Amino acid sequence: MINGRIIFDVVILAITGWAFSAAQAFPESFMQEHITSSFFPSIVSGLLMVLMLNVLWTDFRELRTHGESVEKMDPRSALGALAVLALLVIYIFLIEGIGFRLATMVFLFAAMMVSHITLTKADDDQLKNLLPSKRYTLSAALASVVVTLLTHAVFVHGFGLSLY
Amino acid sequence: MSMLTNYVDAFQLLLDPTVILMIAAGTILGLVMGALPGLTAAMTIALLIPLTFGLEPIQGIGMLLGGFVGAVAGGAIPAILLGIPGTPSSVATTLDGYPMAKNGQAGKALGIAISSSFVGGLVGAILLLLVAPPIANFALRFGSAEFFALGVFGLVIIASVSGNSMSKGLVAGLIGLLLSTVGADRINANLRFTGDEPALIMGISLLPALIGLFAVAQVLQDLATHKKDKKELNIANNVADAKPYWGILGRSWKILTSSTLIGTIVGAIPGAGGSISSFMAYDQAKRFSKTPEKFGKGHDEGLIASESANNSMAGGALIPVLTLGVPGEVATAVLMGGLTIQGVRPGPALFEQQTTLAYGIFFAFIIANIFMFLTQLMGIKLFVRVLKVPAKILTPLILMFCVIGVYGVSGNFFELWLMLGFGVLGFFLNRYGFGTAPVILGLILGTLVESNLRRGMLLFDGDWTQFLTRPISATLLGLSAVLLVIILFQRRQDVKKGTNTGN
Amino acid sequence: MRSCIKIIMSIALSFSFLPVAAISAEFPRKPITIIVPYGAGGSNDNFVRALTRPLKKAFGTNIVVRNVSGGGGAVGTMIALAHKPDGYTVTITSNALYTLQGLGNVKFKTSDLDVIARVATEPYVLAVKTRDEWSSLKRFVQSASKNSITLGYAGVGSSTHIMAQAITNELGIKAKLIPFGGGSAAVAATLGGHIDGVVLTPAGVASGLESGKLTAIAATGTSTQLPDVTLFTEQGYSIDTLQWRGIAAPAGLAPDVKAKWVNAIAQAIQDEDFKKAVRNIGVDVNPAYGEQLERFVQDGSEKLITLTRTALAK
Repeated sequence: MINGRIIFDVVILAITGWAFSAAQAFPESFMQEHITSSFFPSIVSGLLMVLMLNVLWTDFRELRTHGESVEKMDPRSALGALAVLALLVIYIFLIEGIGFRLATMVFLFAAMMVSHITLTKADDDQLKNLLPSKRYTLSAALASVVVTLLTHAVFVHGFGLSLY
Repeated sequence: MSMLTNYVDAFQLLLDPTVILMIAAGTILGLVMGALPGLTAAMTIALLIPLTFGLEPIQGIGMLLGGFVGAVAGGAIPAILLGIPGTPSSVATTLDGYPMAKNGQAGKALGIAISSSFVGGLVGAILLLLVAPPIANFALRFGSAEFFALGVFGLVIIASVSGNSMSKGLVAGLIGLLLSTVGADRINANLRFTGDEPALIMGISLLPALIGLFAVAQVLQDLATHKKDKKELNIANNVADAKPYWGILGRSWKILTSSTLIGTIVGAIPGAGGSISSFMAYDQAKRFSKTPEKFGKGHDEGLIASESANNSMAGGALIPVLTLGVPGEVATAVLMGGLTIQGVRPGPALFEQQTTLAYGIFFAFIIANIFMFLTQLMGIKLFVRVLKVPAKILTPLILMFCVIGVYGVSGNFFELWLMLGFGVLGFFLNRYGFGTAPVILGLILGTLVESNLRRGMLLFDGDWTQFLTRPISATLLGLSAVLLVIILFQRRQDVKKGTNTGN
Repeated sequence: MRSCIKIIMSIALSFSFLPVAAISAEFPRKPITIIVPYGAGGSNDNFVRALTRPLKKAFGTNIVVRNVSGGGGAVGTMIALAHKPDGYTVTITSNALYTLQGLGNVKFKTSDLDVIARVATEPYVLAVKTRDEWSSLKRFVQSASKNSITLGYAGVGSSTHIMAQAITNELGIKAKLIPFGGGSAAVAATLGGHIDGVVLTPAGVASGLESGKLTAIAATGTSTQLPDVTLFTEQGYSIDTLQWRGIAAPAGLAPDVKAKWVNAIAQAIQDEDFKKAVRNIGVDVNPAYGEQLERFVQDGSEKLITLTRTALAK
């Protein structure tokens, strides 16, 4: 009976428990206060723990009697979401490393390729059926360069925004 | 000088074609920025300010007002088409607008949204023109006790925007409240949950949370639950449907009236209004509706409530700025900075010393609302076509704008990581039925509730009864209690009914 | 496909290469970045953007404004300090530089910065709701020594907080100090009668003063916003700390680069548009360089760090 739903519930519960205990250790105030820094976080995390236990219990019971109500993700789609998330992580690192323009070009192109592979309809999931055509690849590359330079020009030179 | 000459003088100020041009330019830019996920109304105004440096005061002000009006209205477009609010005040628009679009009614939803925005915006502007002083004086009566009570009242809304499970909605709301306590606390500067991260000292900013929870989470969800045999959307029908709907608006005149009033009045209360007024209007519409069960599934009443409220909020939010010199939230604070640079000092003296300009601002605001409507009317058929852009192209672009929105304003990489974290959190919250709207409400209301409770206790020397005896605060707290009882009662009834139908 | 990517990458690369800066007496040879440690659209940001145009003219190079918000100015300052002291990356400073240190949340010290110039200043002003018994500083002190009053400030740990505490102590009045989420919230609370007064900078209280709803009791220095205001020092109280806006680089700036910066700023602040914008923002151009500036920084740093520590002592 361990599935994503239960794991998520437990993670939230654990973080809340940590928050509750951390809230008890907040330092004292510099001024005389009737309500201290720990009051509100304690109440909120306490309530959250109680409600979360209730949710966990309900979810557990539901699972035992009815099974998971949320539709299972298609493995290719789930992988696609994960890949785009990973690209976003790389994108953020790249901005810091090689600057906004280059990072954006790389990200846009890579994300367009990845989402093409994961979003294309195909009868069988063999990679060779899903790979984008030369034409798509070329236009995706061109689009990433043009969009990046255009956006950069508008925001940086037009509006004086600093995008590094 | 009589009132009438003021109006005439002010009107002449606006006859200058360059002024009209600046208002139009600001409105269109605002619409575009508001429509891009990640770029908010506050950011739009911040970006426009340097452009106004060389302009005449009324030109610059017109441009900024146009940007404000346009961005607030533009936020509805991605909220409806993609489920991603373009600006914080359009979160409530996603609740019914996006389901409508998913049901194949994107054009109709946009049409209802632009007509509601127009009515809301215009009524807000007219209220600003006619009854700004009394509303401003009412807003001034809000002290710590009243803000606290307003925050509590807002928290009750969480119950109404929760999905099937009330306890899960409350969990999401509490997660938001807990996140609002991160950072140096606002009364004593004690660091809470910050670790060693200096970027967390001032707490979790709304922007990365909003973009993460809505835009990134939505994108991930669209990718993960992509159906290969998805039906093709009938774009032609949607384009034909994309037109104003005065009839539906006329039939829902009660919702329209209450929502614009809520938008204007709540929007005028400094420090509270902006982001929650549309939620409050939505909540009222649902509560008094004959068909509350349809809300959240693509009901036009919910869309009308949210869109008319958040556009009348723009007028409401200007009331304390212009009459008192006190901005209520980020967008109007930035706007006030822009007005100040133009040599306009918002506040009571504005009407005595710069009368013509003051009334010019009112007219500029009204004209901006008209431009907003006209631009949307011309663009609406184009907006619908966004749905035609394949997801494989749209997804990377949305994410890029999210990054620009978060990073461009803050310049802080940590906020990008926050956005990412909120995206993952939002994905699972949606997947397991908790919802993300309550998290945003909790995040906004948490600081309001906690710091005003503590500030009030400081001011009242620990006498908590003041929270219950001051009239506005007592009324709001009483109303919250009554609403809570009603909600719990209704839920029990629903549960009883639910046992028969299963699920 | 691979060759195709290669071509794209090389096109992309050619677009994004920045000119490499040579070490030379010629300064500046590339765009200069001013890091504003606050978000876009605030009064600090507006101030810098108003300065950018004339500075661009003075240097003959492009000036880029980069907003890095977070930590009440801490994050942006730290990022600026991580740059080489070559004059191409500077940040703007204010009293927050000291109060942040006093709060103990940051690792940098005043000496980590090479302050190039002070550009503008504004005093702190004690303003209260208009009432007969608070018509002058003398009457106010008399009244508030007997009956306790409530004073609001812009935020806990901000310089308005520290100054509110310092003023209360120096005047010997009984005052309860209340933190607000920003100066305008404190002003609203005063206008609504929820608190008695505020300690803020003139721009924050100007419209309340003009309408006569607020009265300026006294200020820590002169301001064109408050032409007739009493100064604390005129009545024998030793409170004269000013809020300021300056330009600073990471410590270790070459003297000739610093001299060029000083010249450029001295030239830029003569610009009429800049003067107008600054007047509208509500601060006064009040430049200081060299030794005068060093004394100002040392003085302010010592005073405010100590005051902050005592104000927040448990």
